[in-house]
Amino acid sequence: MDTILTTVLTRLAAEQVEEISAEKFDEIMRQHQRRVYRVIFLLVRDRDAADNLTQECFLRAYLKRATFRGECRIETWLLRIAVNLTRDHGKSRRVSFWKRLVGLEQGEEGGAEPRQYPAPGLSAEHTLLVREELAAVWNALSSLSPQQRTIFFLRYEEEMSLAQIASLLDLAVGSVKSQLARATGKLREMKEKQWK
Amino acid sequence: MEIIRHLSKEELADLVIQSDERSLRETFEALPTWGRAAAERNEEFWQNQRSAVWSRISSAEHRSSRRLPILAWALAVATIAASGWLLSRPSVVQPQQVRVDPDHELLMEVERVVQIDGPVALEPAALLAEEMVQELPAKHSQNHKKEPSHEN
Repeated sequence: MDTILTTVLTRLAAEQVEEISAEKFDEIMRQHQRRVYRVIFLLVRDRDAADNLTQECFLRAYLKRATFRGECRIETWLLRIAVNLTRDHGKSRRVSFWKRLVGLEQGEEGGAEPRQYPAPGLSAEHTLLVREELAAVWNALSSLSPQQRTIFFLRYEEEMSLAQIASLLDLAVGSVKSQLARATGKLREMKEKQWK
Repeated sequence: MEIIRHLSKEELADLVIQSDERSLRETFEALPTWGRAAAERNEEFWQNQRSAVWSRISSAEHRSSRRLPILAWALAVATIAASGWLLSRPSVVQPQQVRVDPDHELLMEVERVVQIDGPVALEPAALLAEEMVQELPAKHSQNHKKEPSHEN
């Protein structure tokens, strides 16, 4: 009985490791790269940085694929890596800002502003409208903490449930709700100012 | 007012979110489309991104495979050095502490006394010697009393 159980468990463990082979990983990348890139782009507001961080996200996922044991969906796992990377990126950008301020580093002006993003398949007018609307949302949320912005975008742009967000960010659902309420409140204030 | 006072923080957050979602319904409904439109890239971009990821993966694996023999060598050298040092150390013999057992010592003394017991013929001499030893302190104390005091 013990031998059978050991054999089954060994086979299951081997299957789990085999699940993310190189071929399988390429398939995973094809499936999720757009979403990972989109989430990163909405959080860092920079296309080049988003591209670089997406690559970094998949690199880390590949190197740590043996640690993925299927406790959550693979998409949640990838987005967790992506969100952590954007957080680290934000920290290094803040350091870079202070370095620029004290003259230790030369940098581009207006790094916090969203860059131009011509969206293929959309008319020029529609692209302009989308850009303006998103810029307004970004500006309204700029005074929030990175985590509150992350929660906001995951909820309303990625349409994730509160429980999914809580699992992804390793937070309690109550904490997610209160941070989301602050974010929606900021956006409402901004809209009310616009309407006045 | 009475109802709000009894609401938990989470319930209040729920109410705020629901109210904001109602007033910003259009924005929230449009956000997924805006996000997708803003992050949309052509197929070539995604293909290049995948290629770049594989390139980074292979260089990372190459780096780690090059690091592995170095680590193994470092470990082997460290092990040899440590064993060499241990072998070359002069062997210091710790002095063995002699523990004296008082009971055992007493037992040995008793045995010694029993074993060296003298022959019967010498018993009177032994008694005489004992008497002399007993008288000696008494005499000594009397002489001490008769001695004149040098202080006077």
